Amino acid sequence: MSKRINNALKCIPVYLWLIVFTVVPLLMVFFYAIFEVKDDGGIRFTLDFLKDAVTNGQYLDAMLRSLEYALISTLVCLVLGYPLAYILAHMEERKRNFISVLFLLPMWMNFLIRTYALSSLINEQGVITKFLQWLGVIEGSITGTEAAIVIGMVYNFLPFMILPVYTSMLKIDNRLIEAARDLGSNSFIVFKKIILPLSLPGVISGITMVFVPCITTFVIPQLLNNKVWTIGSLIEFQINGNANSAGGVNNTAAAISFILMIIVFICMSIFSKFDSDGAENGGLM
Amino acid sequence: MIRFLKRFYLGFILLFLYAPILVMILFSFNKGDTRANFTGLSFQWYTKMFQNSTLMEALINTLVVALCASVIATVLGTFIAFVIAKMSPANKSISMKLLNIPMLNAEIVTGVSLMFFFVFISISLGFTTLLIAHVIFDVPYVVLSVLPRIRQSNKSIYEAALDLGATPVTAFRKILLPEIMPGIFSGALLAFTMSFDDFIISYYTSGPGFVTLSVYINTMTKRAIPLTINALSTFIFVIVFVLLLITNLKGKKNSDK
Repeated sequence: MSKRINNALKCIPVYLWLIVFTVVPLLMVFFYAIFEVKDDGGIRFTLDFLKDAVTNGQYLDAMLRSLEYALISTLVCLVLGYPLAYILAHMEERKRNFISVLFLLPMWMNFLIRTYALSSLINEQGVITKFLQWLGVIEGSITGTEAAIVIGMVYNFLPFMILPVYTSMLKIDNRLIEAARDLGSNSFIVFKKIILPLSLPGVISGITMVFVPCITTFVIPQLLNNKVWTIGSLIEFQINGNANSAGGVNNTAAAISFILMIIVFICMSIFSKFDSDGAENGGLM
Repeated sequence: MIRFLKRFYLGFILLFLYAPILVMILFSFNKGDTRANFTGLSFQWYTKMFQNSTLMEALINTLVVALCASVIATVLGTFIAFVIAKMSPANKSISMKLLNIPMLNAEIVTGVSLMFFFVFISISLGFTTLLIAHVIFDVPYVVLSVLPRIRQSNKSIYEAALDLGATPVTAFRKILLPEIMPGIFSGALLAFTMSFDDFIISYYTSGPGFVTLSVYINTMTKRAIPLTINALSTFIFVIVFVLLLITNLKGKKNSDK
């Protein structure tokens, strides 16, 4: 009995840490979404900011646009990433470890630097722009178009699709495939009946892992096409480009962030439903 | 034929992922000062980078924060991992979910929420807030690399040590700690890398008085600044790439054993 109490006592600091530094900051977003900060430092309850965030045409426009870019980019990542994960998972083990690390490393690297690097290739003087102009495919530069944003998102987030799909394919028991072949299935049937259904959890988490950062990024639109507003760039503008922020806090930014948070949590709950054991093997190590 | 197609496809995606970075590195050695024409080899941008005092200050800031944050996060994360390993399944599931929030949540939301949090408890943004924020997002990485090690560790050796008269502290130090050390090490390395490389969370939680390298790069991309930015980006990229390669290949080797 005393051992149980002892264990329960040890849980307290961990919960304290998680609540104070993870849950409370998120509640702060909600707090500032419904409490207006006044110039004299006082606060006032109001639902105006939340109402504004979901009814203002400019914000709605940005949200829909972000959703659109995120959906397209996620689809492209899936189409490019799934076959890649399949090829990686079916390589010789010795080569596989090193090569897969090469494909997955970029997911840990600075998006700002990677997007900047990409922008030098697709801006007015970029090599790829020049090449496509020479081919006659495009006239102006790639940056500044909607395609530039999608390219930037796919470039940045493709590894987030490859990792979970690859991990789920590695887990597939090879004996299942051999058994199916012994019983006379061709490659197509093996893929349809075994590989596809068993890699589906990986696909679902891949979709979430790409979709969430895509919908929230502000670095990519800022560097590749600063003419359009996305949710991320809207929040960033409200906080840093707006004189109305009181001490760094901006109620509009809080309200938009709150809506964004709800979208993200819906995605995350879908993610955890499909990926019950992923928490400990989701990492690279 | 299929083999060739597979290789071609792998090569194509690898090129897509790394070509921009290679071009960026190439232009950091450019004699001219544009990203468009490569006119000859020179190290001038690196010299300029090391002569730029704001930039060097940002480098020191980044290193100090990354070092402090990863040390604190490693100690805290290891402790949390031990507690979580002993939790009942229900408690474990809740704490793992909470722990995963900073990793899965959108970085901009994490950054903005932490900024609001600091403003609310009226700590002015600067070194302290940046350090706290970094510790917060580093801890999950440490926990996730230590936890599997604790699970794999052989409990009977630890119990045998206790039976043979070792105090729990000695048994922990002599038996358990060496067994989970590789996990702690790779967690610490990963935490350092994440801190060193972070942009968005640092952007929202550091004040104007305390600038890190990524935040500095962000201001540089807004003005049409010459290729110092390429030199600086290359510098960060190479460090992070090597650190990650060590963490991952080492991790793979350990898990193969």
